[in-house]
Amino acid sequence: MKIELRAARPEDFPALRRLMQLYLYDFAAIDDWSIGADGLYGNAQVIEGFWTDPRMTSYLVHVDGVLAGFALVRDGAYFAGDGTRDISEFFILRRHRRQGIGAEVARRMFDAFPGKWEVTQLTRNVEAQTFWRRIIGEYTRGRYVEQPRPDGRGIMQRFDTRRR
Amino acid sequence: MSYETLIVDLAVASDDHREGVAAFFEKRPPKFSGS
Repeated sequence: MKIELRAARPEDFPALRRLMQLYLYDFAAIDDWSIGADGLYGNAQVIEGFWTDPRMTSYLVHVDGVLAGFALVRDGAYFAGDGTRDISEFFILRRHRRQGIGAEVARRMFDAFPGKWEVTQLTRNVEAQTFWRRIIGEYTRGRYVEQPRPDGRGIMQRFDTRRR
Repeated sequence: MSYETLIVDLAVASDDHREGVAAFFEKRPPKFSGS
């Protein structure tokens, strides 16, 4: 199985927009959202901001040449701020889950940006909490700190990939 | 329910949906206006 992770180019934005809708569809069931009257989730301007925000880098995930997901990395974590990166959004299509693809993508991102990281999950997203605890625990050999998110909506793990 | 009430309710529901997603992205509690 060949896993490819590459930074998105402007011509990839239409595919990212569509993947984002599938991502939000998954989260709608977790965070209890309705879909908009236009059949779309979220505010298009907010979503478009991901591709133009200079702090954000979008990656497409391909598995054996087939589009399989995306990862958005933010330089300047939501809670820790400057000097820390976070995985802002992370999505692997259901067909490609439970095959180690997400874990490999996460490891490659951590390898690509040595330093401080913050990864957050919603309280209701138990599956993501289990996934990230395992991946971060293995990657850091247990050298990470888990604490409640300041917004009270979940948990986060913080770690430094240079200290493991 | 009147047509006008239905339209207002739909608008509030739509606003709340957008707010729910915006809050998710911005990692903060949502500020719902209704429904």
